[in-house]
Amino acid sequence: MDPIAESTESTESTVLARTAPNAEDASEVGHCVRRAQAGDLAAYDQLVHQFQERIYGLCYHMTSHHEDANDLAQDTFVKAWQALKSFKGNSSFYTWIYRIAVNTCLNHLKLRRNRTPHLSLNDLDLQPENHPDLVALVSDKTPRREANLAELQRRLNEAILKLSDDHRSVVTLHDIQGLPHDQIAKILGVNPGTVRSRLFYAHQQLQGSLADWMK
Amino acid sequence: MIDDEPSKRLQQLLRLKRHETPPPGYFNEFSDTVLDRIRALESERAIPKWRRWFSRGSQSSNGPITEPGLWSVGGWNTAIGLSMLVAMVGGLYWASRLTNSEGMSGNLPLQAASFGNPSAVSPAASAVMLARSMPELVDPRSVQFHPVTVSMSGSSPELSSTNPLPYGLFQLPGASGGGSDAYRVRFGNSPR
Repeated sequence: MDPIAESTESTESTVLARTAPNAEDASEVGHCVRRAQAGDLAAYDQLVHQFQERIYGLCYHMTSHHEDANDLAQDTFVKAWQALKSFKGNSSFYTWIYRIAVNTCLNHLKLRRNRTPHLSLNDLDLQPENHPDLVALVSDKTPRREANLAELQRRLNEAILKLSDDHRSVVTLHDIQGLPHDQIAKILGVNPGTVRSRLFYAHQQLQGSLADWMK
Repeated sequence: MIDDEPSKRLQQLLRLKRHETPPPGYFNEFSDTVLDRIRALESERAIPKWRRWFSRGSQSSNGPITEPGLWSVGGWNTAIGLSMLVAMVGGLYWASRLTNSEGMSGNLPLQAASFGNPSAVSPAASAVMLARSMPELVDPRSVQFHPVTVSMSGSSPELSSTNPLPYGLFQLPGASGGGSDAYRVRFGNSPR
């Protein structure tokens, strides 16, 4: 079996299990939301614990910058707390807080558009280097066997940073975080067709940027 | 649409980014930081607006209020600025009141208004007051200014002018009328 496919399938199941809340989680989240709306900070603490990794991941993949992602993820939860009373439950809390996070990131990117992109991969935990699937990926199947994982990560982040904000959002939510098209459409407030269209063009651009790794 | 081989390959590459995680232990403190910020916001919300406004100078952008803040640097600057504004407005108000009261008095004694202390009143103000005090002699709208010299002769001030003064403005003792080259007025009871 293709080591790339093997590695990504194993991680995909893990990530999807993390990202898609089941019915039990949803009821627990709903209970916490109601308590938090009544001003219970302990209940909100549970919500933060439940969503912090996903929200941080979204912010990180949108900015490719650990410190920015840290600030943006915190801002997201603070804004969500302040707006919690206005949450009517028309969508899931999960969709609602994701929408806040995406908008927070997009606003940040607009404000910092002129700033030189700074990749902070060295600040992150590089445990994936020791992941057997990834070691197989960079040593067996890539055209540049001598290339290391850091180089691949750098190229990936550069390619993603070249995308427009809209395209980066759908790539982050779909390809990295594993959300389905209809959920992304709800988060971004667009049609599912628009999500597919943005993904198509984003993929075309990324294939051009990562041509060396696509062979 | 995206099921071709390059797209699959690309998606597999992108999924690698899921392995990029923050430093170990990062999420242990994350929620505490968020809750601290929320508590700070809540406590800030409990402070009256006017006090929050004064405390802005001592407050960080995201952090809590670091001190009561009323007398912080920002508060002092604001207080000084407000004091200066109040003083300026008050000064203007009193100045306008004084001017109005002088204008209302109309027939101020010439000696008290100007000649009593000639050096204390500007020539223009003296002329205006003079005109106001003698409306029957001078039309205030046609006031003309003439350079005069005030000198001390003995214990009495002496006012003189080398330019001809309008007739009637000064009725000089012994002078037959305006148009002469020099005028001299003595004040007080000093002998001529």
